[in-house]
Amino acid sequence: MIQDSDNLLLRFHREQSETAFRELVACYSTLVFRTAMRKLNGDRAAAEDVCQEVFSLLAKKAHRLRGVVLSSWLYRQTCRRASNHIRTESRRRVREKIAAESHALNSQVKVTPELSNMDLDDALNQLPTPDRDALVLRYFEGMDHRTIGGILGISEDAARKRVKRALDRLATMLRNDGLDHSAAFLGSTLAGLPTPPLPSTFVAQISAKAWAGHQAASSTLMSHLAPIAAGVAITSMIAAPFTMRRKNAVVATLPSKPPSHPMDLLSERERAVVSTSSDLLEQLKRLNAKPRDETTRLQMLALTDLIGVAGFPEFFAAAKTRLSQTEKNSIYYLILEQEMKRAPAETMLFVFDAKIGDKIDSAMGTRVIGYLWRVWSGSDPIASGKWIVENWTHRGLTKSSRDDMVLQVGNGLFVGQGTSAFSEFLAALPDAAARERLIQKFKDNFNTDLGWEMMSNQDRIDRFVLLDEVPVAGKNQLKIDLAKRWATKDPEGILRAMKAVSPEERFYLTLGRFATVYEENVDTPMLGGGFRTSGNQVSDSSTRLQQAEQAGLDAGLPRDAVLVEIGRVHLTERAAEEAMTWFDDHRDDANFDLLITEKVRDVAQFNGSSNYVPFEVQAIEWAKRISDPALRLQLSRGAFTKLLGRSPEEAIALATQPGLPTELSQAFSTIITEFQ
Amino acid sequence: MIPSKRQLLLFTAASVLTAAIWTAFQTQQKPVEDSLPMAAKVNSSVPDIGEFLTSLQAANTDAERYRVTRTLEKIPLSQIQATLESIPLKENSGLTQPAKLLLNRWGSEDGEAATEWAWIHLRMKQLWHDAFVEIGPAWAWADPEGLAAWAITTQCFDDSDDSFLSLAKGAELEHPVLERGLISKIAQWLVTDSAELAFKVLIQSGTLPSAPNDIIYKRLNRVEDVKEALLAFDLTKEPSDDHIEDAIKRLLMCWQNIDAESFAQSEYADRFELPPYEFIGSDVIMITPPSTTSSPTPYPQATNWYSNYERWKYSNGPMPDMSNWSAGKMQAWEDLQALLPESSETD
Repeated sequence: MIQDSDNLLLRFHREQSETAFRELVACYSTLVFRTAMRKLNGDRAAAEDVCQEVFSLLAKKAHRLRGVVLSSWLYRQTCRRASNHIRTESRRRVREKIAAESHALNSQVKVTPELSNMDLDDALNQLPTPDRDALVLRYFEGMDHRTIGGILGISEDAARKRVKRALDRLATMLRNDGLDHSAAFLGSTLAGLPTPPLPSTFVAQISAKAWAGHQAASSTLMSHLAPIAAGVAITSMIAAPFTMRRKNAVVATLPSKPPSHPMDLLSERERAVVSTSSDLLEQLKRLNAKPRDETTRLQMLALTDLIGVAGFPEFFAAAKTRLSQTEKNSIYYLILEQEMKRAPAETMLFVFDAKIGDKIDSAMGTRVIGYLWRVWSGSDPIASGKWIVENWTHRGLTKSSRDDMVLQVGNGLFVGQGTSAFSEFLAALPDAAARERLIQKFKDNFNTDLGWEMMSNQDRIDRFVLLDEVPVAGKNQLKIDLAKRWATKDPEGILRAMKAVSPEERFYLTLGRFATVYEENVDTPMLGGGFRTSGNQVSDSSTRLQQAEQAGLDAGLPRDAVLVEIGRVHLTERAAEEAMTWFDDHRDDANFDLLITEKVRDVAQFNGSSNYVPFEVQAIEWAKRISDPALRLQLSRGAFTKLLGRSPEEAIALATQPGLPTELSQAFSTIITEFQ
Repeated sequence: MIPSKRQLLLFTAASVLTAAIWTAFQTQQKPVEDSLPMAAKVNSSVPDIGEFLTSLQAANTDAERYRVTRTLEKIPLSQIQATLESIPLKENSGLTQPAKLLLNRWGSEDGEAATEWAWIHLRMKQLWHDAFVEIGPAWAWADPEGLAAWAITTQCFDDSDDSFLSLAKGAELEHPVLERGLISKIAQWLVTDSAELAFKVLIQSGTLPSAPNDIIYKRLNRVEDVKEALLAFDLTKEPSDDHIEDAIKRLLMCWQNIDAESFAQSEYADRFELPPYEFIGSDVIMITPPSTTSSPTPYPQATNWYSNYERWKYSNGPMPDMSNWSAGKMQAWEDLQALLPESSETD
């Protein structure tokens, strides 16, 4: 068969024989069509498009395919192109619609409850080429071992062993992905894959279209090239003799023009060495064994330039068994980082399609993918945002990793594009729960994730003001957190900002200054580069407190509202003793019950103690400052019950403590009696 | 056949363009030839650094950059220093790529001289670390013994308050001083070639890592690597301090993780008692054995009842059957629930 296909390819290429091409299509259209149908879950229209693409490609590349197992090459191309189709949102919708409408086709999607056609094709594509060739010939072309041996140039026995080895490898690969099936089962599965009927007119149509495209390309090219070639040749014949006389004198000094393809830039020897993924892998392994300096890094990058995202399946399949875990950690990272610069969307898709994260060690994999995504979403949040929305249901994405990715995009949009871009992205997320989670995460991580400290003062001012437009709950606390960080890292900057914002924003900035206990104001240059910052304890807290109160009143807020915000800072930022004294002093100036209740619940959720004081005892101390008597007593009783259940000795010690208010003393005794 | 207008147009355009290329080719040759400096004519293998910098800047891909940088191999060792002193060294806050590449070459030929030069010329530009991480790997690959010997005899900066040198302190020192972080890097560069040398440097400089998951241990992937690392220790005596003992045990854990059988048969299996641990990937996790002592609680009813409450709280299950509960217990249940945080925000 390989000889046949070689002959057909040769005839097609040399003689431009349409008949030869039709024969090739007739031979292989069943294989291509059924593979496409499988990959596309029975979407016939898409499968027909894929067939057309694959045979058009065959027409273009025929001259390079001699000696290749054509069925295996066609199988791979079909899988690739079908995957491209799957990625298109409109195609996905069509497929989903078809899947919903047709139970019959649905039954073709799953080979077994656990193993899908998709898994099988993915694994098959990751096999080394000789193994894949053997399986395609055996199960997709239905050949016996003797014929396979003939095609592959090995004995019948060797062919049998190769098929068996390939099935074993396939089983191992699937097992690594959590799908445990024997090699024998996989063999029968491959043999029994559904063969959808191929319309009789279809083969003719494909041949005709692919042939027409090929002819058009050839004739257009040739009709353009012929006069150009004639012009170049004639002019050169006239000019060359004049010029070549000088050749010997100058040619050595001329810089050679760098060729455009990276492969051309390597020496003959290197080109020979890196001619296959496998050799390239050896080169990378060798370089990776060296300590990494700039020269080595550049050499490795020059080699990885040769792979490209289209070559990833072959490369990673070869790397799977030939690289150690440590080598994978380092080389995969380098390759992916390199390709992310050129084709981030495709690279990211490959990372999740092929579950690359699992193939590096799990912790490292998460870090690598996280880093790649952070870089992309930071530099191009719009494209990365589009990607995550388009690939929302990708099976490689877990909910938590997707949430993290969404957050990175949200941060990137907020910093780089502003609030409207953030809100648009929020609205584009496919489900309400994801939107909720983004808002929550955005709030929780806002002050750590956004590179707040790296922003210019003006950028900080802009973002601080814009924060009002983002639909995030709990913004007041967020503003105080940011202002505190600002005041700690750039004490001068926040003072300048206070002059540039509205009175209400100024109030939150003054609260942030009041929350700050330490200011960094000295930068010491370090030998290794960069600066070490150091600073001083804030010594004018009472002045800052007065400034905050005044700023609140200047913003037109009622005094009790101002005091509640100041109380919030006391609760979260100041030492408990100082804060309690302040609340005692302002007991009659505002109602702090909501704030203090929140604090009691916050403290009481912990087990254990801080500074040798059990958290429940601290919660009771705070609860004493609640003005509503029923709420005060209930929270105190709750904290005491918890302490009695967790640490009875400490509870008894508290209940018998001198100076305990009578209402608490009685309540605690009642509880002790109840549980005696 | 009469050619079409389009074909004639293409023929003319191609002829004109080809003629222009030939002309340009001719006119470019003369000035290049005439402007060649005498030195280049005499020794045409020494690349023109200006031309090199221009080509490097024009390179668009890493493959092109790599091709261009290979011309640096033609610079004789004796001219590297002069070349470095003639090119821009700092870009943003780091070294320029040509400087890095030249330091790589110098490091592979004479690491010590390159290091001394970098200390003298680059430390006040805050480029000392950048330079050493280019010199060191090349030096380690070309002459690991030389680098290890140099690291062992070089002063180690060890301030208990600070493991980094300030620029002001560094300015006072005439010769290179190694901060802890750089010694760790040297060990990582050496371990690819010789685990023994890597650990010797760490031992002699007193900087054996205290963290069990330090990267140096993750580089030991074969039993042979571990055995080689153990050669750095004097195992004929008892470990001289806790750091040494911890490092030996950590190495033995690596061995046991790679090949438990050969470890069990080794002389170390009985000699060192390894703490309970577990490997997850290349990370080791020390297992704390559960406490076996427990004293009876004075209020068992309270503790049991509260444990049930905690279980209910985390299970999100239905409310327990309270039909037999006393009013006090019902009250206690409600009080505990009042402590649960509310999900709504206050503003």
